[in-house]
Amino acid sequence: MKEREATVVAVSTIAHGQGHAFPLFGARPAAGFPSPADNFLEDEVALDDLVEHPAATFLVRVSGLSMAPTVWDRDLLLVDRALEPKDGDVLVVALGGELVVKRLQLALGCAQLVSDNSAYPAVKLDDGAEAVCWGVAIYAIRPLR
Amino acid sequence: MAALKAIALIDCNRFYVSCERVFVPGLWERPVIVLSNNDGTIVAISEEAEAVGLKKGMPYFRVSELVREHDVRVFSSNYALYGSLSARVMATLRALSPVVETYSIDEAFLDLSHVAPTGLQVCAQLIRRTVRQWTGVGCSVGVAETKTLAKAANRLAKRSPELGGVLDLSGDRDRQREALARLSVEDVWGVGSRWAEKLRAVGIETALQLRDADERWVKARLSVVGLRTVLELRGIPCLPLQPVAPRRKQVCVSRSFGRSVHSREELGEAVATFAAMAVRKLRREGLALGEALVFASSSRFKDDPVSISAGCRLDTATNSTPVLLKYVRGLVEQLWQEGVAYAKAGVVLTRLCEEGEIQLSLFDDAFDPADDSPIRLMRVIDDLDREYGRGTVRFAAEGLLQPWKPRARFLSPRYTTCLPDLPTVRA
Repeated sequence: MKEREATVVAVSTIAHGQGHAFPLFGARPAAGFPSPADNFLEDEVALDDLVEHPAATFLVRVSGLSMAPTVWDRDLLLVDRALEPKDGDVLVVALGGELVVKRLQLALGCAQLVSDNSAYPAVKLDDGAEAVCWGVAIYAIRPLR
Repeated sequence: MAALKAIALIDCNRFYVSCERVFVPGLWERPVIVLSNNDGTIVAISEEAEAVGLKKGMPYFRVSELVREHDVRVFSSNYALYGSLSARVMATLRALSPVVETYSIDEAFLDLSHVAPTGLQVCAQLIRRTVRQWTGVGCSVGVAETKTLAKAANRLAKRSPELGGVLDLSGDRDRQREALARLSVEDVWGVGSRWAEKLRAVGIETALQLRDADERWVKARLSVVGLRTVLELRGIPCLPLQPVAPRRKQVCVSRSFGRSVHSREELGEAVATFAAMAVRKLRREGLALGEALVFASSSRFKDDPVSISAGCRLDTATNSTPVLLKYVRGLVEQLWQEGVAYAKAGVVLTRLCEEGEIQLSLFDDAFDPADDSPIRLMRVIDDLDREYGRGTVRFAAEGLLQPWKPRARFLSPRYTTCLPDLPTVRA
């Protein structure tokens, strides 16, 4: 077995307070005055607050451009499985043995999965294409950097 | 104890297989098997895989030919994923009933006393549908007046596809009698193989016959525990729901090695890794340990099996990994013997107490109560582990290469607990 060497990378200092929200609970008052805000403290908002059904909501990553400009390649989606799909919803669907993201269109009794990007085709659901709804996308999170 | 009117037992179907399928539609109709620790034996199996002749308990190396022939998909146990989906199942159940007792990774008892008796069947169907929809995991539901009967109902619901995965036996003595007649005595919850032997020896072969057995005989031959089972089969609740698990008294982490370990260094690495895992569990539950035990053994299947352990009490209770590792290093020194091929090792942490209750010792020079940097260090490590997956940050004592690690050649991504492993959906 070939011995792998460990490579030491530079150790960077973690900036104070990076990455976490801590409520401003009364710090040990160094100079004896409690904070006037103590009685009004609220929990910080977090992305969790956007989620109605935490047990049923999953994070997934998008790969591909067929739903541009609504959803882009590399976007994250919050997908809620507890919701019933409605006309116009962006859905994650099991189709052809994989999970895909498309918009549901129920027009004139004909159900379709359409791609927001007009360069891509729609999938008619009555054509024997077996699609199972996996969940309803409620938020898209786009990495900008 | 207020009498519960109805208890449901929810049991996920083929849980590990179901978990592997949630994010991969391509597996939904394929034969799938999941292997035990060290990729040893089949521990979970799909219907399609059973159809080609595979069974739970078969060693993987013996069936790899069959697996290849039928394109069976193989997975190593992905506990991070299973634990996460289990938590979601339990959270879903808690949205449906005020009292939920988590019984195992894929089973829970629910109190359905708030539901009118005529509505129990529909309620059970709703539970099944909701768990499936919210988490992607299928389950069966059994309902009755006692835990033991609910378990029996669940077993029968699983077996008979015409029931649609749901069986409500509450309040119907005739259906209960009919159902218990179809259940063999070893399939009754609480009856193991030893008791089943005793019972069959006197002609008790079905759950119904056990239910109707003489109480005094049962108490004498099977103890009061057996008597409780019989009373529960009669519809008399003896086992209350325990929604809050009693505080744990110990934590144990042990593993069989992927290949035998000979050197003190390797054994030390393995034990350090197990100790770090165990104490991390304690931190998550807000507990600390006062005593540590380390054990190691050679293979049971070879000549002269060796099994040895060493333990010590800590000066001050702790849940800091570096502090524990110092003690553990000393214990490994006591344990290790030249020439032994170690096949397995483990760590047991006991004398647990709440974090806030740690008693300071007069004699511990190293402990400075004003210095909270060890606590902050552990918090940073735990946060990084949570974001990037367990084991992201390790102590040097745990070893870098870890060649002794149990084999897990077929691990699926940690879809729900590790950002880099998120499932991909195609646009």
